[in-house]
Amino acid sequence: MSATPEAIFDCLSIANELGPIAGGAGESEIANFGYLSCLLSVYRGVAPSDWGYGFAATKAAAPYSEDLSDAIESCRLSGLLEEGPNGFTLSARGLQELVGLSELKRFRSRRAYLHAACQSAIAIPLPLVTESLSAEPQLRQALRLSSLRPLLDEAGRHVVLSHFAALSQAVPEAQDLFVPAVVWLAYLARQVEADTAEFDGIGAEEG
Amino acid sequence: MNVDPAEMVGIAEQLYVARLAATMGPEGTEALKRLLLMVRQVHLAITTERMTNGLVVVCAVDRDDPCLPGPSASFTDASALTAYFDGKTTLTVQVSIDGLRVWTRPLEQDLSFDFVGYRYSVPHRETIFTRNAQYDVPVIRMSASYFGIPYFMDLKRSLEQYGETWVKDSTCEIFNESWLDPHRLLFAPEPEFRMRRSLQRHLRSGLREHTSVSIMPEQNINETRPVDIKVTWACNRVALIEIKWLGKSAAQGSDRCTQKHYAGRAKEGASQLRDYLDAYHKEVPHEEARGYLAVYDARRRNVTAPPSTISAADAAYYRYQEIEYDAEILARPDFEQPARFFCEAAL
Repeated sequence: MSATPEAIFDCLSIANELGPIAGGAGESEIANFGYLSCLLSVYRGVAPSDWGYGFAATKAAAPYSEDLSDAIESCRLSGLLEEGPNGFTLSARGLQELVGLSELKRFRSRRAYLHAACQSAIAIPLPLVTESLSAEPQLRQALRLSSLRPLLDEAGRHVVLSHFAALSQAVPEAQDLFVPAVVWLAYLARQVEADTAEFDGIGAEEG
Repeated sequence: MNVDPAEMVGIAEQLYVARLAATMGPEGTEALKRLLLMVRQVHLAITTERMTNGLVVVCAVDRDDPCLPGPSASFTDASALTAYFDGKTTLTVQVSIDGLRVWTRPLEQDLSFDFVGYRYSVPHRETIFTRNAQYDVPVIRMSASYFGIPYFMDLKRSLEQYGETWVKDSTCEIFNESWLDPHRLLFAPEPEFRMRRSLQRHLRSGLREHTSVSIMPEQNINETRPVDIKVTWACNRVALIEIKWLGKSAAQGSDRCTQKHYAGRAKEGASQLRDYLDAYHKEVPHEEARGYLAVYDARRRNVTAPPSTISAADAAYYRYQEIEYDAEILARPDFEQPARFFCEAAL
């Protein structure tokens, strides 16, 4: 088990950001918000390969990263993360570590993506953020094919970029990534509502 | 799977976050984020039932001046409001540099500086407002506040909270439509559809880490009857939730009950769920399935169709009458202790 520095940084950042919102971050939430952060970097024109680690889609339409999973375990074992009833929170040492890492140039650019992704959970109820993300086109495809698939490979990136082209037209002036993040999640939430209504055999209702 | 750019634009034109960002720029967006975090923390500290006179939260864009004259209380953390607020007045909260300022008076005057505000009005209306505009907040029918939904990691705790908060006094709008009469003595025919929708909505917005909460279509577990709701998590865990209701149902104007369900119905549900679990383990052996039985208990003594007045004692007769299930079923490691939601009458 060897976690990449980027995955360590992301896992500490997400646990820290979700603390005031939800009391901590669950393991799959760290994967979800890590993936959303990575997608926001792609929205800003960064190549997925520059993220530092990769993601795959599980059969249940959830993003998974072995690097993040290793990072959580590594941070837990070294006492940087503590597990509580609301998920993982930072220990005093974990917070100190995060503050130190945040000053490194290596992580500077990803802080904005992590912050915007996690802050979306103050504008949209947290469980609906992760549920909406399951309608991200690559994850939907994984659910349909019921297969474990890599995310943001060449074909996947192409599909996501078509969403992001529409998104940048919808919020052309937005400087804060929080805004496109929330608008895109609201768009994906509508896909989930439509899917749910179709599955349940009823008309779509409130969002 | 193809993107619909027009729909995306439509969302950006409606959604309060995008509209506010378009008019107030990055500083306004930053203030909105600080505001929303405080709104959530205030809602978690004070239930909406105690906010009988409404709530206003404001966050100044570029300064820390008080939004109201006169003395205010100051706290570093909104959780202090639980003990501080007595529920008898309106509440005005301002996000400050080191926490929050609180007044038990309304914000009636126009502010001289740029700010982002939130207003909760009774009953259940939420708006975001600025000096020049007002934006509606999305509505979730299962929650009194879009920002105050309690989150749960654990399905059992989430079910308990659902029963206590939404079913006991029929405060869930979706579940409330199950009743035939305003006194909540009889259900309308086939109330289970609304029970499923109500519980699904609750779990989708409050249960953390799930990937889907689905109402199951017919004949998906075995060929006799389906389980009602399936919750899927990112890993290989699933929960199968069987819903049963107890009491009587009748059609409007009819003098005959269409269905009468007693304690035996809940026991049947436990047996059915055991069978579903056995079938599921065989069919999908790589998933960890766990069974949950949710019982909506609307039993009343001496109730008939059409519903007429009954005594308070008759209405509450079954309130504490727990159901004795097959001990072997309860001892199964994949079977959670059944949740009974006693539905109070409104006499």
